[in-house]
Amino acid sequence: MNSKVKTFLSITTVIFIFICFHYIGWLLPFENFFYKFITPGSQIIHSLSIKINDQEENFESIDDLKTAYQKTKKEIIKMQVEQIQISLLEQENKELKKQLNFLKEKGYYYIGANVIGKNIDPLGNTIILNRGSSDGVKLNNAVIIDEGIIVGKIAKVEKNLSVVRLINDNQSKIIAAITNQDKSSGLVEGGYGISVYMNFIPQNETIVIGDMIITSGLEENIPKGLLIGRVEAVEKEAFQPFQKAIISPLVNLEKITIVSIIIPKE
Amino acid sequence: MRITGKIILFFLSLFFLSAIHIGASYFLPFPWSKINLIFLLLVIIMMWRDTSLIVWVAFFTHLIIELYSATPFGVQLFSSTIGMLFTFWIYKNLFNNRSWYSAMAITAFSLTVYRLLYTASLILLKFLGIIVSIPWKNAAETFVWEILLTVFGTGITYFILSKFFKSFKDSPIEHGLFKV
Repeated sequence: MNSKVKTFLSITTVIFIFICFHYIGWLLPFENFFYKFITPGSQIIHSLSIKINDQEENFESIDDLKTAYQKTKKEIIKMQVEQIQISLLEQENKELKKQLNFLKEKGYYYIGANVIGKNIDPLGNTIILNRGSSDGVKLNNAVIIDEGIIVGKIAKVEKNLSVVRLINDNQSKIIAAITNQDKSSGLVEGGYGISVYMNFIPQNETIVIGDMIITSGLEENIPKGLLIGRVEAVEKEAFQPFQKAIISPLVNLEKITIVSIIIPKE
Repeated sequence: MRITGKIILFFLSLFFLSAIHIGASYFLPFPWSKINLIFLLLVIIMMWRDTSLIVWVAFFTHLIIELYSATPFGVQLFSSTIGMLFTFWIYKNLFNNRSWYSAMAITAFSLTVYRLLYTASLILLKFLGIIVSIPWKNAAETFVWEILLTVFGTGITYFILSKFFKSFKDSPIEHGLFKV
């Protein structure tokens, strides 16, 4: 047999053995060794990168600065108008907060986790947490921040860490409901890390821009009432059976540092 | 003692390569964050040391990277190691001189093979029902930026190194297939 074919087969066999060992669990001591060394470093690098990337905006030319100034002026006017609406929204917000008491009612409890990194492969929008199966984390657990804003679901669990698929990942799917009169339900999906949208909303139901999207509670590990986002635009075609809502997430998914994982009771 | 030193150096280089690659993807803004510093440095090391050890460095480095990846375990490990193996063969049997432009060509070949194998593995996993969907648009955009930036990065790095170090000066590869 040609020596190159032999080399190729040997290396492929080694790779295959390592893959098998990983799934059997025989690589765990080796993996834990690396996690112990890399996790603290990765966490520092990740926090530092968020701080650095969060610096003030730089303008390349005076024209850019002018455009930004005009944009800001328009935004101030818009904000003044919005302020009037805030009092109305406050009332709505109180009601939404009441919904968030589901945790105690349903017997769910949280565990806090630090974000120690983000994905570096092009397949998805994910973040890495420093909690794993040893802390009780399981696949598809809901991951929230602040007062019940869902940012994603657990997609992969190792002993001491887990990977969260963010809501803007193209493989993310969450059954959701809109807080409108019809209580419309649909499926919230990510759009290649750029956008989030809600599909399969019946045509005859009314959606208003600004309506809040919450989890419907129809999924096993996702409690009802977690905030997903706000309706930013509605795509409605007469010939389509369903309409689609473009959602703007309530938080910047690129700058998450601390989260809570909802662990359902056994 | 010498062997122990070499082993320690080997593992330290693995940590260094993984850290620098992860660090670059965190710190740099898009599209610079897509540069593949592991392949850039491995191609430079291969042309400098003329060693097949880079295949194993690729293997162990991606074993670490794999632990932080959302893709099913083995996809990156397989595609990167085999990609680097093919690269080493091409370097040994096809290229006839060491220069900044041959470094660029080798990197382009290397990353193309790596991403082709990566895509093929994903298609296979999708066929087997292990992954739901492949974000083609997103992946293609990433691959193009990755190849462009890494190829130019390798060329510039090699060019700068050749100005300061003798071992990077333009020189023929004795075993090259096509002699000029």
